[in-house]
Amino acid sequence: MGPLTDKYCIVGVGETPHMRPSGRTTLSMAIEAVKNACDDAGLAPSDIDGISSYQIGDSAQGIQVATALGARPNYANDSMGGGSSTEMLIAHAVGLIEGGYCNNMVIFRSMNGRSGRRMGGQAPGGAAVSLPITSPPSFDQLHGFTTPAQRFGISFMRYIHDYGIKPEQLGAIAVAHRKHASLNPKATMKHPITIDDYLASRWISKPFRLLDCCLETDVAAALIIMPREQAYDMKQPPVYIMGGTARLMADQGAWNYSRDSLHYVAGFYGRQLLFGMSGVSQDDIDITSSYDAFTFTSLIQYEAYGFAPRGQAGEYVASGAIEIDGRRPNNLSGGHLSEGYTHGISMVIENARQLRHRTDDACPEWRQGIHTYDRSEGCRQVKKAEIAACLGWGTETMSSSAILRR
Amino acid sequence: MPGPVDYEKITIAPDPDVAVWWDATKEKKFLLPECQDCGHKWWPPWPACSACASMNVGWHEIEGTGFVYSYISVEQPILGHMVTAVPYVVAIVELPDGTNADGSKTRISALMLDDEADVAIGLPVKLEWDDHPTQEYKMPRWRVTDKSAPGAWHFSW
Repeated sequence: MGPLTDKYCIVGVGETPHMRPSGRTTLSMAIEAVKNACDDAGLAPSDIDGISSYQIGDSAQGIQVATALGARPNYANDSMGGGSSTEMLIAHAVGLIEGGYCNNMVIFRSMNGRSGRRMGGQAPGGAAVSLPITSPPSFDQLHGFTTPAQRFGISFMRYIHDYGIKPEQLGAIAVAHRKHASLNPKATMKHPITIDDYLASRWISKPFRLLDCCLETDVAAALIIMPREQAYDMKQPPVYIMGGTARLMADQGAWNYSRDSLHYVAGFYGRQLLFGMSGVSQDDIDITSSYDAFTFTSLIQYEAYGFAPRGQAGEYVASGAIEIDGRRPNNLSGGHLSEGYTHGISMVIENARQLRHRTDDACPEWRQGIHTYDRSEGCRQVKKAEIAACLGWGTETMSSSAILRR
Repeated sequence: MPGPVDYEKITIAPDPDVAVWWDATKEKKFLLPECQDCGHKWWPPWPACSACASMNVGWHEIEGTGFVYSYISVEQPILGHMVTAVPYVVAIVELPDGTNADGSKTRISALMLDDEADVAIGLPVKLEWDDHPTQEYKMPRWRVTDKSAPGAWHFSW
């Protein structure tokens, strides 16, 4: 176990609706999400003592959000990054609070992910003006090779070549996450899909079809971390942080395609640190949030973090293990494929709600932790939700993770 | 065939790390950065050796042949200069003359001139060049040289 295992807790979570388009500023959405997280915890916004966010030059800053809410934080910082930033900032929060730099930390992400800056350079209305070719990474821009679908597709194509996964296996991820979204009142895409729907969806960038790709939405979401001694006084059951990894890299960076195997992703390097610090093994994990920018990113991280043998994650996902009543359900909110797009923080928030046994579903008394566990009545709460693994993805060569428990 | 790239819509404005590389394209030379201390070659042209961290960087001109290591086929255009080009194939090409001391081969991204049906993992490719309508720089393109080479693997989902 790590020196800080179980000493810090997630005590509040909140978000705005997923919108397309929001018609709002990222500042306005961030404020709403932070207020909702404070309400959830039972904190006044003026009690916020640390604030951090992640963004890609597309969002309001923490100091603006704190100012607007009348808080005077002892720590405020905004990190560059998209996916896998949430778990990294959780690690930062634990270290900073332990060091005495602040007493609590709000982490938020606010983005007009559909109506504002889109990943890969696409404009809100379609194809974008091409930027000048300047630095080494922009060689890929010259080749029309900038979006996550294009870049991750290279690794996945080689994976298919090396291991022979079938499209029906990959599609099981899209079907499972959509099933979860159908139980989530907040989800953008609620109608269930079948494998046939998946196979019939149009190509975006081979080997990815439309239903392999996540949504783009306008949304803000936030969570709050504090020491467990203070967490006991909050409104919600605390969710303990057991351990994690913080933007850990593979041996060669995202633009270097010469590394041994393009699909030997960062999680393979982070697995021992994550489970060693947390003091648990894969068998102990009840639910996961394997980052689903694409079906493939979710798939490969089951192998990276040791939930499936190398080359066999297709069998793992097609077995039903990742579905709500399966062995280890994944992304119970519907994830980025079906709930909406937050660069990862919403997946951690869903795990926190599941671990509290207070998932915001159709059960009338979910706020009291009373659930029917009847999926036909819209219950999304997992019966056995003791320990969750958050498996963040930035690129093939960058990952952050966290293990949480109730 | 993929459609033409609309180079008029994209400007080449090299920063100091890639100025030498782009200047060489004017003579249709494709350079790999090469460490002058340990001989390692890499891509893209970062200003340090990823094997020994030396910043004593020189350049190695490749012969312009290689093999497809992986590829994608882009159906939906994202950037303005590629709207006329879809569907187009981007490959990762392994360069035999980019072989390093540890046996690894330097790989680059390559915009193919071929249809998706003619591209497969393992096929041999060679370098060609497109002109830019308003700039002297040349634009690298790659073409499959033997569509029936044995051992090739084509995506068939």
